Amino acid sequence: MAAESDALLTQLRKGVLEYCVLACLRKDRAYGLELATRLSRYQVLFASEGTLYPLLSRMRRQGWVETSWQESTSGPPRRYYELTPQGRTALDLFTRAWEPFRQDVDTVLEESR
Amino acid sequence: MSRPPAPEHPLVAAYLADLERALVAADPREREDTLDAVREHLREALGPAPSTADVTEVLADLGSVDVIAGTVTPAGHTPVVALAAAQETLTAPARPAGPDAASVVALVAGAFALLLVLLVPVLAIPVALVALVVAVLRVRSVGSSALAWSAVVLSGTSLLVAALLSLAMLSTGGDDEPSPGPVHSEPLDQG
Repeated sequence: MAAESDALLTQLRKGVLEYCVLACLRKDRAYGLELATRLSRYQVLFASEGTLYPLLSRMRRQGWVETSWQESTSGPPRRYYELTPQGRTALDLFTRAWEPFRQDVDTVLEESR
Repeated sequence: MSRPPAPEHPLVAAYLADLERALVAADPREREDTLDAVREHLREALGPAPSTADVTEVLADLGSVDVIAGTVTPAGHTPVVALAAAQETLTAPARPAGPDAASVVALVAGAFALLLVLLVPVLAIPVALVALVVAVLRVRSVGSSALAWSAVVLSGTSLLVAALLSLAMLSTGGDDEPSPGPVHSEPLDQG
């Protein structure tokens, strides 16, 4: 049952997680650990912090996220991630689509009770 | 300011080696980006001399290397970001942009058939028929496409008009037998 539940969550996350990552970068840029820590508060959405990094790699190649290095007083330089204009557009599109989608799913599930 | 890097904790070294093995079949760039980013994550989270307990906790939060490897793009595949349907150019393989070529051909053929109707209706029939078949096939494969539907309407109309005109010409052609004119008898010249 746990394995089936994990498999289901994996599928559900696939369409959504990258937009949540974009949302976490909407107001401000962040470095990897910082972003992972922000997302780790949402355990159902983001169970494994390491899965953030392949996602960020793809979003960089997609042109939704760009990176820059900044020196750190506490050690080696940090790689910061921030949204590109295309990333903001993608996030806006998702945000507009999500609410009616979520409402429909909730309604269908509620009506089937 | 630069100091020699602290020796890696053995659990960290083992985790990174496992992760590298788990990513062996991954897209090369994603593999390198992921490994670099995870190393950086560990450096930031643990500092120079972490305890085994701290390392264990941070590695548990990172998650199993197999779970991470399960989310990477396999080598040889174009990375896909989900829900990119709203921005078609983001999905692979890329779909051809611009008008559907077959529908354009059907539309042009339909227009040509309509022109032929005015000149040689009988010839317009096969042209319109071919145009109509192509247009109907495009509608069935691409679904609701204004271009494909326009081709159907134009070629269908051409075919109908050509058929009707040809039938009309055939039926009036039967009545057009030259009828003999009135017989004139010229009086013989008497002289």
